Amino acid sequence: MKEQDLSIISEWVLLRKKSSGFLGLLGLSSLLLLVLGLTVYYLFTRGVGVFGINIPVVWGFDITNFVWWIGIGHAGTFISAFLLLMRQNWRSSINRFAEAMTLFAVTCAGLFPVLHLGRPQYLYWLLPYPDTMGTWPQWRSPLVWDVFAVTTYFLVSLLFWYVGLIPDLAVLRDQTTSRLKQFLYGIFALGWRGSVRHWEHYQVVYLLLAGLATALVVSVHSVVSLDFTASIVPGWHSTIFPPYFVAGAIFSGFAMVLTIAVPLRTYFGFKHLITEAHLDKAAKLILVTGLIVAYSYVMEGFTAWYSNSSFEKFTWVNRALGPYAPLFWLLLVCNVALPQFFWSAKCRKNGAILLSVSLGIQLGMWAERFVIIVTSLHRNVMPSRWGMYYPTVWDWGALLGSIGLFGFAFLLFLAFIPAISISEMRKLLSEEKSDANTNK
Amino acid sequence: MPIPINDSQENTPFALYGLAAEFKSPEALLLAAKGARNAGFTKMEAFTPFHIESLAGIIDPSFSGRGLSRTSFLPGITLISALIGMGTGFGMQYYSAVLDYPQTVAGRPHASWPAFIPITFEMTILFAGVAAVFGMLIINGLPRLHHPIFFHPNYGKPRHSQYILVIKANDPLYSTSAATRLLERLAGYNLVEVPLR
Repeated sequence: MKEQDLSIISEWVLLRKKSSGFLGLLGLSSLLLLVLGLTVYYLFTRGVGVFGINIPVVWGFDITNFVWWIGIGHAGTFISAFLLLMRQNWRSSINRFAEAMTLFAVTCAGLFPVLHLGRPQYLYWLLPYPDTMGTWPQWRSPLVWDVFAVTTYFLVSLLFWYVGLIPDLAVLRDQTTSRLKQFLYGIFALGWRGSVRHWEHYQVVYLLLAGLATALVVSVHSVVSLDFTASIVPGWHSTIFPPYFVAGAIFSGFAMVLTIAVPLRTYFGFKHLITEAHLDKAAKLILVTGLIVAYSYVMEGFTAWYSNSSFEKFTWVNRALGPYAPLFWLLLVCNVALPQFFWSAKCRKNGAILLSVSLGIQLGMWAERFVIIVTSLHRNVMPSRWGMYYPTVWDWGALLGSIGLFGFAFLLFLAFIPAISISEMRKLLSEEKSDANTNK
Repeated sequence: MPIPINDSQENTPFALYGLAAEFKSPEALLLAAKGARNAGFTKMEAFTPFHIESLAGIIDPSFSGRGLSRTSFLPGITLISALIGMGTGFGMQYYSAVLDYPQTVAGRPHASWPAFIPITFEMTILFAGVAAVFGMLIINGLPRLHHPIFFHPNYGKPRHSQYILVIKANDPLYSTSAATRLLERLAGYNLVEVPLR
């Protein structure tokens, strides 16, 4: 890594003309964003009946998407917070865009419970506020816990990301020659000037936020999993869910990190900053968390058998052999078989394999959440309450639309904000230099 | 506007922020800061592109303590806010479920505290995080959109050293010639007098 490699970060934002590939992707994601807008409009005017949900399958694509998106966000927090506390310096080149990924993924996730509400205009009933009816939210409900968990997660992630960004915004303010950019970056840089006293407090607050966010890495998806475990639905009522969900979240999140990092490296010229070593480590983490997830699948089957409850046993058999069986086997292939490629060092360095495996894992993790939600509900304890769930075009619209929202936000982030932390990379570079000098 | 140094002119006619010198590396800046402190200067400021270990303790002895809590109030502020958040979170649920609107469902206790823990936990983290960030901004006096160092012609410009040491004009020992001699001896270059406004 050299000084010139670093300057590409700010140049990419300030000087480079965006390539036609970039603009093409931006156009595609704006189209999908329009699909989301149309879906939301249709949904809000007609009600949740436009989705495929019914009695007994009251949760369909919407909650699947919610759990999927919020899981994806977890890798960003894991990288920026947990790896910082563990002094893993290599995180510096990937933490900025991973945090942005978290932020936009949580935004997409937060959308779905609202879309799913039925009467979204009463969203604020979930919040404690002094209303004229004198009532309060139901504190014993995991759905209310979710509101607090996701809101806190979003706000703390936003603060963490912004605090990390302040010195870099100051760099852009000082380097740009455009008056408008100086003004805008100047406002958001808050007048940061790299004063040594400021850095001292800054360092402390960054560590504190890392500690707080680490607690969120393990807690948010645990609270999400309680949405399921606190019920008595067979296949949901299980104590393994919180750790299983957290491992799955980091698993799918690292897959998203790779999905973003591989193209950034190949097409955006960040080859010297995001190196093969980063991809290698992310792939190893995918392998580890993938094995935890695989273990959880085994334990689900074991517990169903060992519980000796005919409903639990039936639910598991129905997952494997029932009408949704193809999705069950798809998730096993994607989440258990595919990551095994990463035992090979060659595969961990090959961009095409990394990208296809990580896309496969995201598909698999989406299927996993769908299988957990829908197969447990569609054949519940009473056969008179059995039914099927088929997604409608609006279900697909919301899913694809949320991918559009994520892509759109992420591309704008790439265009206007340094995708790699300039100040952290400068620090790494200077440490490498002084190490080289002392070793001479 | 920056004014080139004129040795014959001891008393500059404009209000001065200080004399700034650039340094090649963090190590050179550290050495220079030590040198300036040993020479008796007390009012100094350094500007760096990233946090440099132990530099703050030399520039300002109030930072010279060991450990996070010695150098900054922020851990204390964060802890207190975390406790306030915890109390608010738990208190809100206890008040509403036990005092304000108790509902008996299947004979379960109103004060079912285990069910209140997730929200209490989230409120703790939220209060602590918000307080830590805003505490940092307030202690650092940010936002402050303008500062005399921005008058420095090379400040923040690419291909210039980003390690700048300033001996402030309000230092009791300050005189442009003394500060110039010292900074040049300490391997500083591109010496510039930075005006206050």
